[in-house]
Amino acid sequence: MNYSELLHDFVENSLSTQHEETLFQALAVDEELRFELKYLLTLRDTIREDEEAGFVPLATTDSIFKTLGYTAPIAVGAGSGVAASQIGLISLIKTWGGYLVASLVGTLLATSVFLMVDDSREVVFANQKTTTGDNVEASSSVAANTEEASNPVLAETEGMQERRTSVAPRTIQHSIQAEAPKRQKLSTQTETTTTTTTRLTAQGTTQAEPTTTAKNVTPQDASTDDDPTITAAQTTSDNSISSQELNHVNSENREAAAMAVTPIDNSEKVTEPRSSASLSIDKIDNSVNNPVNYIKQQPAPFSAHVRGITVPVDLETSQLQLPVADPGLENVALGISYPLSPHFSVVLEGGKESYLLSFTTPKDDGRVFLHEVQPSVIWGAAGIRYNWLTTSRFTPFGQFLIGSSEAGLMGRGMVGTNWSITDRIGLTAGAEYSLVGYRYLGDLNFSDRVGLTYGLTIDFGR
Amino acid sequence: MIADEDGNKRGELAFTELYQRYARRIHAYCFRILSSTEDAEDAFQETFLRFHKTVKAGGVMTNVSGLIFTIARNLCINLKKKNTRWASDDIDDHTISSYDSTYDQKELLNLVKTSLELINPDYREAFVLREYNGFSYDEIARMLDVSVPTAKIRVFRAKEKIRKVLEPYLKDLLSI
Repeated sequence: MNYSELLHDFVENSLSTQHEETLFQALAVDEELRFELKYLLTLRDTIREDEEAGFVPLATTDSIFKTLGYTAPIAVGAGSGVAASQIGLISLIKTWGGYLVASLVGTLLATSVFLMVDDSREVVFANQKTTTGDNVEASSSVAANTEEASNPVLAETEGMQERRTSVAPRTIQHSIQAEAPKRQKLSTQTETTTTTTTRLTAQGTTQAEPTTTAKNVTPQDASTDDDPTITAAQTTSDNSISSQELNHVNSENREAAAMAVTPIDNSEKVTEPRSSASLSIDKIDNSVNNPVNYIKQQPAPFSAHVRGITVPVDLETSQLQLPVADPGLENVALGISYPLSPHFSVVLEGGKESYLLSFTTPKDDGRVFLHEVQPSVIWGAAGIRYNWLTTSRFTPFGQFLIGSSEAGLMGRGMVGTNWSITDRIGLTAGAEYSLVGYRYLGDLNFSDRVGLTYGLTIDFGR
Repeated sequence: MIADEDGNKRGELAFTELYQRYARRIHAYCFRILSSTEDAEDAFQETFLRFHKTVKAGGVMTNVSGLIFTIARNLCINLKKKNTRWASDDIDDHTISSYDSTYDQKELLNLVKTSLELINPDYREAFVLREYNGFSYDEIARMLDVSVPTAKIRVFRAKEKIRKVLEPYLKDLLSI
C-alpha cells in the first residue's frame, strides 16, 4: 500500500492506527504528500457542498406523484432530503408561511378581542387616573382637559363649579341644539326651553340660568338666524304667522334646520370662561413626576423585549432520555408589542425551544416501535397581551399567543409582571406554558412544557 | 412494504416517506452519472415510477435503497447507451478550457463536475455512489456486482483521475 492509498483511507477514516503513524511521519517530510492530502480534503468538502445535484425540482416531484395519483408532499417530516433542498418561492412559503399565517391570525384575534372587550378606552383611561388617589382634583382637571376642556359639565371641583356659572349660556345653547330636531309644534317650544333649563338646574347650575336662558334665546343675542330654536322664540313673541304655517315650514326644512343649528357662534361668550379654565389647568403639574401624568404617558408606541425561558419542565417525558439536539440559543425569545389601548397590546414573538416529539409505529407482528426526537425548533407566534395598570411601576400582564414552529402549530400562554426601571427600560418575569401540535402518519400529537421566564423590555418612541 | 392493495392512505404515506428519504440521493446519482440534465430528470422520475410498480407487484424487500439504486443505475446505463457512448475516454486527451486565477467554491465544483464527465464511467459511478450517496464499499460492491477491493480501487482511481484533470489548477484550487 503506497502513501496515496494510505491518504485515501485516512480521509475516509478507515486507516488503522499503525498506518496512521507511518503516514504522519511521511507527511512531516513530504510536501507533495501534504499537497495531495489538501486535494483530497478539498474534493470531499466540495462535493458535500454540491447541493445542486441533490436538488429535486418541485415540478419533477409533482409529476411523479401525479402519475401515481398521489398528493405531492408539501409538509415535510424530519430527515427529509427533499425539503432541505427546496429553494425559491415555494421554499420561502414553506419556511415562513406558517409564521406569516400565525402572525395574521394572531393579529386578527387580538384586534377582535380588543374591539369586543375594550369599547370605551377613554372612560377606562379616566378611571385609572382617579385610582391613583394622590391628586384627585388634578386628575379630574386632566380628564376635563383630555376629553374637552371647554365642557364645564365634566368639571367636578368647586372651583370649576364657580366658573360654570359664567359658562352657563353656552351650556344652554348646546342643550337647545340637542332638543331642536325633536320639536314638532310651535306651541311646545317655550315648554321645551323650560324643560332644558330645569334639567340643567338639576345638574347643579346656578339659579341665574333661567334669566340667562331667556336672554339667550332672544334674536338679538343669536349669532345666526338659522337657529330654529331662535326662530321659534322670535315667532312666538311676534305672533306674525300661524303655528300650522310654521309647522309646515318646519317640516319642510327640518333637515336643513337640524344642520343649521350646528354653526352657532358662541365664541364671544365662551372666550372668557375658556380662559378661566385654561388658567386653572395650567397650574396642574404636567411633569413625569406626577403619577397621573406617568400613567397618562403609558403605553409607549411600541416595545421590544427579549426574554429567556428558564427552569423548563417538559411535561412530555422522554422514555429514551434524549439529549437536546441543538442547545445553541436555546430557550430564548424575542418580540415586539404594540399597544391598542392602555390595557391591550398586540404581541409578536419568535424564539427557539426544544420539544420532545414521540412517534409510535405499530408493526405487523403486533409490536409497537417508539421513536423519539427532541429537536430545538424555531417558533413564531402572535397574539394579545392584557396589562393590569394597578401601579405606576409594576404592570402585571397575561398574554396568549398562537403561531407555528418547525414541528407544528403552537399555542403559548404567559402570566407575569413588568417592572419599569426607567421610562424606557423594564424587567419582565413570569411563568409560561407552551403547547406544540405535530402530525405523524395522519395522527395529531401534542408536546407541551412549562417554565419560568424573565427578560428585558425596551420602549420606543415615548 | 407498501401495502397499497386497497389504495389506502398508508400506501401513499409509505411511498411519500421513501421518496423523501431517497429522492435527493437518487437525483444526485442520476445528475452526476448522466451529463445531460434532461436525461437525469427522466431517469430520476422513471426510477421512482418503476420502484412503485415493483413494490406494488408484491414481494418482500430487505434492501430498499439497494433496489432503488439498482433501478436508477440500470436506467442510467440504458440512457447512456441510447444517447451517447458508454465507453471509457482517455483522460489524457482532455483539459478544462475555462481557467481563471480566482476560484470560489462554485467554480471548483464546476471543475469537479466537468472532471467527472471525463473519467471512466466505471470509476465515476463508484465515485458518485461513494462520495455523493455515501454508500459503504460493501454496498457499492453489491450494487456494481464487483468485489469490495475492486469498488475501493475504482473510487481511488476516480480521485486520481480527477486530480490529473485538475492538475494545472490545483495550486489555485488549494489556496481557497
